[in-house]
Amino acid sequence: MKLKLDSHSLELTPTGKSYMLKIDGQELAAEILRAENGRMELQLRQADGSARKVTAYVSSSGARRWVTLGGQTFVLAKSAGVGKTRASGHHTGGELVSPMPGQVRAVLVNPGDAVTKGQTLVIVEAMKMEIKVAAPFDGMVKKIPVKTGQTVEREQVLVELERAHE
Amino acid sequence: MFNKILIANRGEIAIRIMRACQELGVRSVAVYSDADAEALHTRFADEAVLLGPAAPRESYLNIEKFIAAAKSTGAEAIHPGYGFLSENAGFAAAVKEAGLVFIGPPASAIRAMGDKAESKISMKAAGVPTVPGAEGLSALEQFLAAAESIGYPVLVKAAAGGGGKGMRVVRSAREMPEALESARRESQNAFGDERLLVEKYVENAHHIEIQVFGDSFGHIVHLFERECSVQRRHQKIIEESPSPLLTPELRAEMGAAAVKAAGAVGYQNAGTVEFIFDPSAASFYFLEMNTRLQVEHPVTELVTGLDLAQWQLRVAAGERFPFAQVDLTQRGHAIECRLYAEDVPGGFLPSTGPVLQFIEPRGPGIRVDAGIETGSQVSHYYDPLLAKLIVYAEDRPAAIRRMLAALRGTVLHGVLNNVDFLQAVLLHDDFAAGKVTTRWVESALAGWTPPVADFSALAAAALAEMSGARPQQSTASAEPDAFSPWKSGSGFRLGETR
Repeated sequence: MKLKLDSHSLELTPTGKSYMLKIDGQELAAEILRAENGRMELQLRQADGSARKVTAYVSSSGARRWVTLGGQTFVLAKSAGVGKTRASGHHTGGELVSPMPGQVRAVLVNPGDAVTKGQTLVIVEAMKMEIKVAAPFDGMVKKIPVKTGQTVEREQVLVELERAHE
Repeated sequence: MFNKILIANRGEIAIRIMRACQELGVRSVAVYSDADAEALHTRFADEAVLLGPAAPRESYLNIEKFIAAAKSTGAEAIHPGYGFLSENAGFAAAVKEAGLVFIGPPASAIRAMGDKAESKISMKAAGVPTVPGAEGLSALEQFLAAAESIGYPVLVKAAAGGGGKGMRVVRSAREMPEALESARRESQNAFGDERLLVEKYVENAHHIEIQVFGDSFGHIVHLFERECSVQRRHQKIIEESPSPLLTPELRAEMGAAAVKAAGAVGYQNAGTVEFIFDPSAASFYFLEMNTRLQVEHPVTELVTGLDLAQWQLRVAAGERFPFAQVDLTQRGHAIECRLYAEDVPGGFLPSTGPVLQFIEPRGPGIRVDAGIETGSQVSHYYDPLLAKLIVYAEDRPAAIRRMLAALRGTVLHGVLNNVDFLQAVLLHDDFAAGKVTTRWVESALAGWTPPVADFSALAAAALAEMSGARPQQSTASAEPDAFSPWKSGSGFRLGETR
């Protein structure tokens, strides 16, 4: 079994009661000593024969993997050729996306409006906090696929903008 | 003592008050919105009453619905918790008019302190030191003129405000119009009031507050300070007592000023007087009084040994508060960390989702006040506070070590949160030195990024995928979730959405 977590390539091969694990080309033997309710006790054995035991808490939601180990939590993205991520609050190809899940508080522009860089276009509210989504460049509003009061997800497109000509 | 009370709140504070009820033998009534039908607090109470739709205006901010719920369940008193209607004088008055007891200060004291502009004027008159500023303004020109005479930067804030809502730092006249507009809107949404005031923005300020407590016989004491300087977006994330900055003399001086402030408005029950502390001048200014139980009250409970939530019920029921100022002591050191649902590197923006796993830390001197459990849903409607970790130890270094252990022992999956970030704060030299100001987080930890997964973490994630997969699928295509170990019938189940 092969998988990709963030930028890491992993390969697992069952070998009896343990697994041969290859992470970015490096090999180690891993054994699951115990696993229940999202908690795993593992024994990891290096090529030189040295072994250590670790306890990890692992959860999954969609493509996201949560691993807590040694008092730290890592959020990993399992990719399967998708892997397209937009930086939150940023613009890609003239699309302004919501930086957080929440509710559209106000839509301050209409399709066809000319807007200037820095101008607030939409206000999103979550947990009593307001975030202003501003125009990243001078341009014209092409489309507003959301309405005031609507619930939006993180990264959902709020406004489509067309860059002004020089 | 009351037979039954209604808790007009949700989350961890509702549960905290329900615990106090259980120990005092008082029955508790929870309230909830449609979004909270399965929330932890609804199961912690003896009874639970549906208020209405998720939007706060139609549920947790609706006075009539609370009173109707209290009447229908036979509750004799209402505890407002913090946030929502806790500092709404109209609510306190309405509760009283309905023949019920409001577990908190009299409406008149809430009114006097709730209006930040009015309270500043009355505190000035009472001889409590205040920050230079201007109140009672409405037009943009007035704000600009006031800011000009105070000198930039200034802070525009909601007259009815608290908790950092409706507050903007304005560094030049150019920023004023939009700051006023957004502060007004936020204030209107949070408090139903859009009046603003402006004051000098003290750079490098520490936030130190004094807990006060009064009974209905005019007896008011202070319960020492809490240092609350670790903030982001003007909201506290770590609080402690004692403050590493105060000398016994300053502590006594601030305590006396807080008791004077509370006395000036006829205060009863639990309250907190917030001060801005300028360490360079060792001077302090009255900021505002929070006329309710604070989020960080456990810190005071641990160093004083008093149960503030229980005393709130007891004095509201007419008991005397039996301790004189000289009876009260501050012993050891307590620290609280707030676990927030937020995306730290993304600018501390709120995060939502299902709680896939929540494992509370255990150990000597560790207390957890949580509003969630594994399987809870975190929605965008309410506060991002999920839980509080509070530790108590013999001194500050020991308390810091204990908190780090508690954070490392916490598992919180499914909602982006600040557990790792809090560790970074506690490990920072400035925190150890007690040098943290209210603007420190934004500067010192601006570039913080979450820990990068090591070999072991990657191995664990990979094995979790594998162990749940059926053998015949182990060589399947890379289609997303082809292995779906979380839905398979194998013995191993990862934390997952219910």
